[in-house]
Amino acid sequence: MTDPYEVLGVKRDASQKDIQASYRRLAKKLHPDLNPGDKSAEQKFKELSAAYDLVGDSEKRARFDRGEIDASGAERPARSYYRDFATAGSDGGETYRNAAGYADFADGDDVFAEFFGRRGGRNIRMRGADVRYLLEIDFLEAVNGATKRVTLPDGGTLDLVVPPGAHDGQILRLSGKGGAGVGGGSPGDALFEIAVRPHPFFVRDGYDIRVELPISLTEAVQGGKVRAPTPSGLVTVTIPRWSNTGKVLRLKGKGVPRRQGSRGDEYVVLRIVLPDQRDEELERFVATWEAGKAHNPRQHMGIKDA
Amino acid sequence: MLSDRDTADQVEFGGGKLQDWIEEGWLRPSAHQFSQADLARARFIKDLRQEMGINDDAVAVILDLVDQVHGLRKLLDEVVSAVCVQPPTIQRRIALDARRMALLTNTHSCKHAGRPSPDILKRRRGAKEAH
Repeated sequence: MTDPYEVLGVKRDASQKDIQASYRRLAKKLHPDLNPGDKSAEQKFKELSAAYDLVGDSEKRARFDRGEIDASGAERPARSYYRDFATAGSDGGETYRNAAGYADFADGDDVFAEFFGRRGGRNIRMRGADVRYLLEIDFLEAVNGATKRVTLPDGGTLDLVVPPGAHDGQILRLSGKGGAGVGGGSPGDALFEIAVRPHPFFVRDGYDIRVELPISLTEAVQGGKVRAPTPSGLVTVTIPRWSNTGKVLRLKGKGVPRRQGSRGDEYVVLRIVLPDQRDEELERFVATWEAGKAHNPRQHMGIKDA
Repeated sequence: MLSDRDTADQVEFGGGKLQDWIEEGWLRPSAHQFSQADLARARFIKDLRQEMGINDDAVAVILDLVDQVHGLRKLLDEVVSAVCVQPPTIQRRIALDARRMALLTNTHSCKHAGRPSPDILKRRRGAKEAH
Protein backbone atom coordinates (compact mmCIF):
# COMPACT_ATOMS: atom_id res chain seq x y z
CA MET A 1 0.00 0.00 0.00
CA THR A 2 1.07 3.53 -0.60
CA ASP A 3 1.87 5.90 2.23
CA PRO A 4 -1.33 6.56 4.20
CA TYR A 5 -0.48 10.26 4.53
CA GLU A 6 -0.18 10.48 0.79
CA VAL A 7 -3.49 8.66 0.26
CA LEU A 8 -5.17 11.07 2.65
CA GLY A 9 -3.44 14.05 1.07
CA VAL A 10 -2.03 15.41 4.33
CA LYS A 11 1.41 16.16 5.67
CA ARG A 12 3.01 13.81 8.15
CA ASP A 13 2.66 16.36 10.91
CA ALA A 14 -1.01 17.11 10.23
CA SER A 15 -3.27 17.26 13.26
CA GLN A 16 -5.78 14.47 13.94
CA LYS A 17 -8.48 16.97 13.13
CA ASP A 18 -6.98 17.79 9.73
CA ILE A 19 -6.63 14.10 8.98
CA GLN A 20 -10.28 13.50 9.79
CA ALA A 21 -11.38 16.48 7.71
CA SER A 22 -9.35 15.29 4.75
CA TYR A 23 -10.67 11.75 5.14
CA ARG A 24 -14.25 12.97 5.21
CA ARG A 25 -13.75 15.18 2.19
CA LEU A 26 -12.26 12.31 0.16
CA ALA A 27 -14.82 9.78 1.39
CA LYS A 28 -17.60 12.00 0.06
CA LYS A 29 -15.88 12.01 -3.28
CA LEU A 30 -14.88 8.35 -3.47
CA HIS A 31 -17.56 6.34 -1.66
CA PRO A 32 -18.79 3.71 -4.15
CA ASP A 33 -22.41 4.39 -3.27
CA LEU A 34 -21.95 7.99 -4.30
CA ASN A 35 -20.38 6.82 -7.58
CA PRO A 36 -22.72 4.03 -8.63
CA GLY A 37 -21.28 3.64 -12.12
CA ASP A 38 -17.59 3.98 -11.32
CA LYS A 39 -15.92 0.60 -10.93
CA SER A 40 -12.65 2.10 -9.75
CA ALA A 41 -14.34 3.87 -6.82
CA GLU A 42 -14.35 0.70 -4.75
CA GLN A 43 -10.58 0.23 -4.86
CA LYS A 44 -9.90 3.90 -4.21
CA PHE A 45 -12.30 4.00 -1.28
CA LYS A 46 -10.76 0.82 0.10
CA GLU A 47 -7.32 2.42 0.03
CA LEU A 48 -8.65 5.55 1.65
CA SER A 49 -10.37 3.57 4.43
CA ALA A 50 -7.24 1.53 5.04
CA ALA A 51 -5.15 4.69 5.27
CA TYR A 52 -7.56 6.26 7.72
CA ASP A 53 -7.67 3.08 9.81
CA LEU A 54 -3.93 3.44 10.23
CA VAL A 55 -3.51 7.12 11.04
CA GLY A 56 -7.04 8.26 11.92
CA ASP A 57 -6.52 6.97 15.41
CA SER A 58 -3.79 8.85 17.28
CA GLU A 59 -2.52 5.83 19.17
CA LYS A 60 -2.26 3.66 16.07
CA ARG A 61 -0.77 6.55 14.16
CA ALA A 62 2.00 6.91 16.73
CA ARG A 63 2.88 3.24 16.42
CA PHE A 64 2.87 3.54 12.65
CA ASP A 65 5.12 6.60 12.78
CA ARG A 66 7.57 4.71 15.02
CA GLY A 67 7.57 1.86 12.51
CA GLU A 68 5.99 -0.66 14.87
CA ILE A 69 3.21 -1.45 12.42
CA ASP A 70 3.19 -1.08 8.71
CA ALA A 71 0.57 -0.41 6.13
CA SER A 72 0.17 -4.02 5.06
CA GLY A 73 -1.91 -5.06 8.05
CA ALA A 74 -4.50 -2.41 7.47
CA GLU A 75 -6.32 -4.00 4.55
CA ARG A 76 -10.03 -4.11 5.08
CA PRO A 77 -11.97 -7.18 4.04
CA ALA A 78 -13.99 -6.82 0.85
CA ARG A 79 -17.53 -5.63 1.45
CA SER A 80 -20.55 -5.15 -0.68
CA TYR A 81 -22.08 -1.75 -1.24
CA TYR A 82 -25.64 -0.60 -1.58
CA ARG A 83 -25.10 0.04 -5.28
CA ASP A 84 -24.57 -3.70 -5.77
CA PHE A 85 -28.24 -4.27 -4.91
CA ALA A 86 -29.86 -1.01 -5.90
CA THR A 87 -29.99 -1.50 -9.65
CA ALA A 88 -30.36 -5.28 -9.61
CA GLY A 89 -33.87 -6.63 -9.86
CA SER A 90 -33.87 -8.93 -6.86
CA ASP A 91 -32.68 -8.71 -3.27
CA GLY A 92 -34.91 -5.79 -2.44
CA GLY A 93 -33.20 -3.04 -4.42
CA GLU A 94 -36.43 -2.22 -6.23
CA THR A 95 -37.94 -0.99 -2.96
CA TYR A 96 -35.97 2.22 -3.03
CA ARG A 97 -35.59 3.07 -6.69
CA ASN A 98 -37.31 6.26 -7.57
CA ALA A 99 -38.84 7.37 -10.85
CA ALA A 100 -38.70 11.09 -10.07
CA GLY A 101 -35.64 11.46 -12.29
CA TYR A 102 -37.53 10.60 -15.49
CA ALA A 103 -41.27 10.81 -14.73
CA ASP A 104 -41.60 13.66 -17.23
CA PHE A 105 -40.60 11.27 -20.01
CA ALA A 106 -43.99 9.63 -19.61
CA ASP A 107 -45.83 12.82 -20.58
CA GLY A 108 -45.47 12.40 -24.33
CA ASP A 109 -47.87 10.50 -26.55
CA ASP A 110 -45.25 8.37 -28.26
CA VAL A 111 -44.57 4.68 -27.79
CA PHE A 112 -42.11 5.38 -25.02
CA ALA A 113 -44.64 7.21 -22.85
CA GLU A 114 -46.08 3.85 -21.89
CA PHE A 115 -42.63 2.42 -21.30
CA PHE A 116 -41.58 5.26 -19.02
CA GLY A 117 -44.95 5.49 -17.34
CA ARG A 118 -45.54 1.85 -16.68
CA ARG A 119 -43.49 1.78 -13.50
CA GLY A 120 -45.21 2.37 -10.22
CA GLY A 121 -46.43 -1.09 -9.43
CA ARG A 122 -49.34 -1.36 -11.85
CA ASN A 123 -49.92 -4.96 -12.82
CA ILE A 124 -49.08 -5.44 -16.42
CA ARG A 125 -49.16 -8.38 -18.75
CA MET A 126 -46.58 -8.34 -21.44
CA ARG A 127 -45.48 -10.75 -24.07
CA GLY A 128 -41.86 -11.81 -23.67
CA ALA A 129 -39.21 -10.32 -25.95
CA ASP A 130 -38.22 -11.97 -29.18
CA VAL A 131 -34.66 -13.17 -28.92
CA ARG A 132 -32.43 -13.20 -31.98
CA TYR A 133 -29.69 -15.65 -32.75
CA LEU A 134 -27.33 -16.09 -35.64
CA LEU A 135 -27.30 -19.59 -37.12
CA GLU A 136 -24.29 -20.37 -39.29
CA ILE A 137 -24.81 -23.22 -41.73
CA ASP A 138 -22.87 -24.71 -44.63
CA PHE A 139 -23.77 -23.88 -48.22
CA LEU A 140 -25.07 -27.36 -48.94
CA GLU A 141 -27.08 -27.45 -45.71
CA ALA A 142 -28.86 -24.32 -46.89
CA VAL A 143 -29.54 -25.74 -50.36
CA ASN A 144 -30.53 -29.27 -49.34
CA GLY A 145 -32.01 -28.50 -45.91
CA ALA A 146 -30.75 -29.76 -42.57
CA THR A 147 -31.64 -30.27 -38.97
CA LYS A 148 -29.42 -28.30 -36.64
CA ARG A 149 -29.24 -28.84 -32.91
CA VAL A 150 -28.86 -25.47 -31.20
CA THR A 151 -28.10 -24.71 -27.57
CA LEU A 152 -30.00 -21.81 -26.06
CA PRO A 153 -28.52 -19.51 -23.43
CA ASP A 154 -30.58 -21.25 -20.72
CA GLY A 155 -28.78 -24.50 -21.55
CA GLY A 156 -31.73 -26.13 -23.29
CA THR A 157 -31.26 -27.58 -26.75
CA LEU A 158 -33.65 -27.81 -29.62
CA ASP A 159 -33.61 -29.21 -33.12
CA LEU A 160 -34.08 -26.57 -35.71
CA VAL A 161 -35.26 -27.62 -39.15
CA VAL A 162 -33.60 -25.63 -41.91
CA PRO A 163 -35.86 -26.01 -44.95
CA PRO A 164 -34.29 -26.91 -48.33
CA GLY A 165 -33.53 -23.76 -50.28
CA ALA A 166 -32.92 -21.62 -47.20
CA HIS A 167 -31.06 -18.44 -48.02
CA ASP A 168 -28.63 -16.11 -46.29
CA GLY A 169 -30.49 -13.69 -44.02
CA GLN A 170 -33.62 -15.83 -43.83
CA ILE A 171 -35.18 -15.92 -40.40
CA LEU A 172 -36.52 -19.08 -38.80
CA ARG A 173 -39.03 -18.41 -36.06
CA LEU A 174 -39.61 -20.74 -33.14
CA SER A 175 -42.65 -19.40 -31.38
CA GLY A 176 -42.62 -19.39 -27.62
CA LYS A 177 -38.89 -20.04 -27.32
CA GLY A 178 -37.91 -16.41 -26.67
CA GLY A 179 -37.90 -14.35 -23.49
CA ALA A 180 -40.38 -15.15 -20.72
CA GLY A 181 -43.58 -13.15 -20.56
CA VAL A 182 -44.30 -10.68 -17.77
CA GLY A 183 -47.33 -11.01 -15.50
CA GLY A 184 -48.68 -14.09 -17.24
CA GLY A 185 -47.98 -12.83 -20.74
CA SER A 186 -46.97 -15.33 -23.38
CA PRO A 187 -43.29 -15.88 -24.07
CA GLY A 188 -41.63 -14.26 -27.08
CA ASP A 189 -40.22 -16.07 -30.06
CA ALA A 190 -36.71 -17.23 -30.80
CA LEU A 191 -35.60 -15.88 -34.17
CA PHE A 192 -32.72 -17.56 -35.94
CA GLU A 193 -31.11 -15.55 -38.68
CA ILE A 194 -29.38 -17.83 -41.15
CA ALA A 195 -25.83 -17.03 -42.21
CA VAL A 196 -24.66 -19.29 -45.03
CA ARG A 197 -20.96 -20.06 -45.23
CA PRO A 198 -19.59 -19.81 -48.77
CA HIS A 199 -18.83 -22.97 -50.75
CA PRO A 200 -15.42 -23.63 -52.32
CA PHE A 201 -16.89 -23.87 -55.84
CA PHE A 202 -20.66 -23.43 -55.83
CA VAL A 203 -22.00 -19.90 -56.08
CA ARG A 204 -25.65 -19.19 -55.55
CA ASP A 205 -27.64 -16.80 -57.69
CA GLY A 206 -31.22 -16.79 -56.46
CA TYR A 207 -32.42 -20.31 -57.05
CA ASP A 208 -29.73 -21.03 -59.62
CA ILE A 209 -26.27 -22.37 -58.92
CA ARG A 210 -23.17 -21.45 -60.82
CA VAL A 211 -20.09 -23.58 -60.88
CA GLU A 212 -16.91 -23.30 -62.91
CA LEU A 213 -15.87 -26.67 -64.35
CA PRO A 214 -12.28 -27.19 -65.49
CA ILE A 215 -11.92 -29.31 -68.65
CA SER A 216 -8.85 -30.56 -70.42
CA LEU A 217 -7.71 -29.37 -73.82
CA THR A 218 -8.60 -32.78 -75.24
CA GLU A 219 -12.12 -32.60 -73.80
CA ALA A 220 -12.49 -29.08 -75.16
CA VAL A 221 -11.43 -30.05 -78.65
CA GLN A 222 -13.02 -33.46 -78.96
CA GLY A 223 -15.95 -33.12 -76.59
CA GLY A 224 -17.02 -35.98 -74.37
CA LYS A 225 -18.73 -36.95 -71.17
CA VAL A 226 -17.40 -35.59 -67.87
CA ARG A 227 -18.73 -35.66 -64.34
CA ALA A 228 -19.83 -32.37 -62.77
CA PRO A 229 -20.77 -31.59 -59.17
CA THR A 230 -24.31 -30.47 -58.27
CA PRO A 231 -25.68 -29.84 -54.77
CA SER A 232 -27.37 -33.25 -54.93
CA GLY A 233 -24.31 -35.14 -56.13
CA LEU A 234 -22.29 -35.81 -59.26
CA VAL A 235 -23.98 -35.92 -62.66
CA THR A 236 -22.62 -36.76 -66.10
CA VAL A 237 -22.65 -33.92 -68.59
CA THR A 238 -21.78 -33.99 -72.26
CA ILE A 239 -19.20 -31.48 -73.40
CA PRO A 240 -19.87 -30.62 -77.05
CA ARG A 241 -16.97 -30.91 -79.43
CA TRP A 242 -14.92 -27.68 -79.70
CA SER A 243 -16.10 -26.11 -76.41
CA ASN A 244 -14.41 -22.91 -75.40
CA THR A 245 -13.62 -21.49 -71.98
CA GLY A 246 -16.67 -19.54 -70.85
CA LYS A 247 -19.16 -21.83 -72.54
CA VAL A 248 -22.15 -22.34 -70.27
CA LEU A 249 -24.04 -25.61 -69.95
CA ARG A 250 -27.41 -25.57 -68.23
CA LEU A 251 -28.33 -28.47 -65.99
CA LYS A 252 -32.05 -28.09 -65.68
CA GLY A 253 -33.55 -28.65 -62.24
CA LYS A 254 -30.17 -29.11 -60.58
CA GLY A 255 -30.32 -25.79 -58.71
CA VAL A 256 -31.87 -24.76 -55.42
CA PRO A 257 -35.29 -26.14 -54.42
CA ARG A 258 -38.11 -23.60 -54.40
CA ARG A 259 -40.88 -23.69 -51.88
CA GLN A 260 -43.37 -24.88 -54.51
CA GLY A 261 -41.29 -27.98 -55.16
CA SER A 262 -39.60 -26.99 -58.39
CA ARG A 263 -35.89 -26.31 -58.51
CA GLY A 264 -33.67 -23.74 -60.10
CA ASP A 265 -30.99 -24.71 -62.59
CA GLU A 266 -27.28 -25.20 -62.34
CA TYR A 267 -25.09 -23.37 -64.82
CA VAL A 268 -21.78 -25.00 -65.53
CA VAL A 269 -19.17 -22.60 -66.89
CA LEU A 270 -16.38 -24.42 -68.71
CA ARG A 271 -12.75 -23.46 -68.26
CA ILE A 272 -9.99 -25.03 -70.32
CA VAL A 273 -6.99 -26.05 -68.25
CA LEU A 274 -3.60 -27.08 -69.68
CA PRO A 275 -1.76 -29.93 -67.93
CA ASP A 276 0.53 -28.80 -65.11
CA GLN A 277 3.53 -30.41 -66.81
CA ARG A 278 4.82 -29.09 -70.14
CA ASP A 279 4.31 -31.51 -72.98
CA GLU A 280 6.92 -31.52 -75.73
CA GLU A 281 4.70 -33.22 -78.26
CA LEU A 282 2.04 -30.55 -77.90
CA GLU A 283 4.64 -27.77 -78.03
CA ARG A 284 6.10 -29.21 -81.21
CA PHE A 285 2.67 -29.43 -82.76
CA VAL A 286 1.71 -25.87 -81.82
CA ALA A 287 4.99 -24.56 -83.26
CA THR A 288 4.00 -25.91 -86.64
CA TRP A 289 0.31 -25.11 -86.39
CA GLU A 290 -0.23 -22.26 -88.87
CA ALA A 291 -3.96 -21.69 -88.16
CA GLY A 292 -3.16 -21.26 -84.50
CA LYS A 293 -0.59 -18.58 -85.26
CA ALA A 294 -3.07 -16.70 -87.41
CA HIS A 295 -5.81 -16.82 -84.78
CA ASN A 296 -6.33 -13.48 -82.96
CA PRO A 297 -8.75 -13.95 -80.04
CA ARG A 298 -8.49 -10.23 -79.15
CA GLN A 299 -9.89 -9.01 -82.42
CA HIS A 300 -13.25 -8.07 -80.84
CA MET A 301 -11.37 -5.72 -78.52
CA GLY A 302 -9.97 -3.91 -81.50
CA ILE A 303 -6.47 -5.13 -80.76
CA LYS A 304 -4.36 -6.12 -83.73
CA ASP A 305 -1.23 -8.13 -83.24
CA ALA A 306 1.91 -6.13 -83.69
CA MET B 1 -27.76 -9.86 13.68
CA LEU B 2 -30.00 -7.58 11.70
CA SER B 3 -32.13 -10.16 10.02
CA ASP B 4 -35.10 -9.67 12.28
CA ARG B 5 -37.00 -6.49 11.89
CA ASP B 6 -38.48 -6.73 15.38
CA THR B 7 -35.10 -6.17 16.94
CA ALA B 8 -34.36 -3.10 14.87
CA ASP B 9 -35.28 -0.67 17.59
CA GLN B 10 -32.65 -2.17 19.85
CA VAL B 11 -29.87 -2.17 17.34
CA GLU B 12 -27.41 0.65 17.39
CA PHE B 13 -25.75 1.00 14.06
CA GLY B 14 -23.02 3.52 13.58
CA GLY B 15 -24.38 5.87 16.18
CA GLY B 16 -27.97 5.68 14.95
CA LYS B 17 -30.92 3.52 15.72
CA LEU B 18 -32.19 1.45 12.83
CA GLN B 19 -35.69 2.08 14.16
CA ASP B 20 -35.17 5.83 13.72
CA TRP B 21 -34.03 5.34 10.14
CA ILE B 22 -37.10 3.26 9.39
CA GLU B 23 -39.28 6.00 10.84
CA GLU B 24 -37.52 8.57 8.69
CA GLY B 25 -38.33 6.42 5.68
CA TRP B 26 -34.65 5.90 4.89
CA LEU B 27 -35.05 2.17 5.35
CA ARG B 28 -38.17 0.34 4.27
CA PRO B 29 -37.67 -3.33 5.15
CA SER B 30 -40.49 -5.74 4.48
CA ALA B 31 -42.67 -6.83 7.39
CA HIS B 32 -40.27 -9.20 9.07
CA GLN B 33 -36.96 -9.29 7.36
CA PHE B 34 -34.12 -7.11 6.24
CA SER B 35 -33.13 -7.87 2.68
CA GLN B 36 -29.53 -7.74 1.45
CA ALA B 37 -30.38 -4.36 -0.03
CA ASP B 38 -31.74 -3.08 3.30
CA LEU B 39 -28.53 -4.09 5.07
CA ALA B 40 -26.27 -2.58 2.43
CA ARG B 41 -28.34 0.59 2.53
CA ALA B 42 -28.03 0.74 6.32
CA ARG B 43 -24.24 0.50 5.96
CA PHE B 44 -24.37 3.29 3.41
CA ILE B 45 -26.37 5.49 5.80
CA LYS B 46 -23.86 4.66 8.52
CA ASP B 47 -21.01 5.68 6.22
CA LEU B 48 -22.73 8.96 5.36
CA ARG B 49 -23.35 9.90 8.98
CA GLN B 50 -20.31 8.51 10.71
CA GLU B 51 -17.50 8.30 8.14
CA MET B 52 -18.37 11.47 6.26
CA GLY B 53 -19.96 13.37 9.12
CA ILE B 54 -23.01 14.33 7.10
CA ASN B 55 -25.98 15.61 9.07
CA ASP B 56 -29.38 13.98 8.93
CA ASP B 57 -31.04 16.63 6.75
CA ALA B 58 -28.37 16.16 4.12
CA VAL B 59 -28.56 12.38 4.44
CA ALA B 60 -32.23 12.56 3.44
CA VAL B 61 -31.41 14.64 0.37
CA ILE B 62 -28.54 12.34 -0.63
CA LEU B 63 -30.66 9.21 -0.28
CA ASP B 64 -33.40 10.72 -2.41
CA LEU B 65 -30.96 11.65 -5.16
CA VAL B 66 -29.19 8.30 -4.99
CA ASP B 67 -32.57 6.57 -5.34
CA GLN B 68 -33.29 8.65 -8.41
CA VAL B 69 -29.90 7.77 -9.88
CA HIS B 70 -30.64 4.09 -9.41
CA GLY B 71 -34.06 4.52 -10.97
CA LEU B 72 -32.41 6.10 -13.97
CA ARG B 73 -29.66 3.51 -14.10
CA LYS B 74 -32.22 0.72 -14.07
CA LEU B 75 -34.17 2.44 -16.82
CA LEU B 76 -31.04 2.97 -18.90
CA ASP B 77 -30.12 -0.66 -18.38
CA GLU B 78 -33.53 -1.73 -19.71
CA VAL B 79 -33.26 0.55 -22.72
CA VAL B 80 -29.76 -0.72 -23.52
CA SER B 81 -30.88 -4.32 -23.05
CA ALA B 82 -33.78 -3.72 -25.43
CA VAL B 83 -31.38 -2.27 -27.98
CA CYS B 84 -29.06 -5.25 -27.56
CA VAL B 85 -31.68 -7.78 -28.68
CA GLN B 86 -32.15 -5.89 -31.96
CA PRO B 87 -30.33 -6.93 -35.13
CA PRO B 88 -26.76 -5.59 -35.27
CA THR B 89 -27.58 -3.09 -38.01
CA ILE B 90 -30.32 -1.53 -35.89
CA GLN B 91 -28.06 -1.51 -32.85
CA ARG B 92 -25.45 0.43 -34.77
CA ARG B 93 -28.07 2.82 -36.08
CA ILE B 94 -29.42 3.54 -32.62
CA ALA B 95 -25.93 4.06 -31.20
CA LEU B 96 -25.16 6.44 -34.04
CA ASP B 97 -28.43 8.31 -33.73
CA ALA B 98 -28.00 8.60 -29.99
CA ARG B 99 -24.72 10.38 -30.60
CA ARG B 100 -26.40 12.57 -33.17
CA MET B 101 -29.18 13.43 -30.71
CA ALA B 102 -26.60 14.65 -28.25
CA LEU B 103 -25.84 17.39 -30.73
CA LEU B 104 -29.48 18.20 -31.45
CA THR B 105 -32.50 18.83 -29.30
CA ASN B 106 -32.73 17.69 -25.75
CA THR B 107 -36.30 16.53 -26.03
CA HIS B 108 -37.17 12.86 -25.63
CA SER B 109 -40.40 12.85 -27.56
CA CYS B 110 -40.44 10.71 -30.68
CA LYS B 111 -42.39 13.48 -32.39
CA HIS B 112 -39.60 15.95 -31.99
CA ALA B 113 -36.66 13.64 -32.12
CA GLY B 114 -34.42 14.16 -35.06
CA ARG B 115 -35.66 17.66 -35.74
CA PRO B 116 -32.69 19.92 -35.24
CA SER B 117 -33.11 22.80 -32.86
CA PRO B 118 -33.18 26.29 -34.42
CA ASP B 119 -29.83 26.79 -32.81
CA ILE B 120 -28.24 23.95 -34.74
CA LEU B 121 -29.90 24.99 -37.99
CA LYS B 122 -28.50 28.48 -37.55
CA ARG B 123 -25.04 27.07 -36.99
CA ARG B 124 -25.33 24.84 -40.05
CA ARG B 125 -26.47 27.74 -42.21
CA GLY B 126 -23.58 29.75 -40.89
CA ALA B 127 -21.16 26.97 -41.81
CA LYS B 128 -22.57 26.77 -45.33
CA GLU B 129 -22.29 30.50 -45.91
CA ALA B 130 -18.71 30.40 -44.72
CA HIS B 131 -17.86 27.99 -47.55
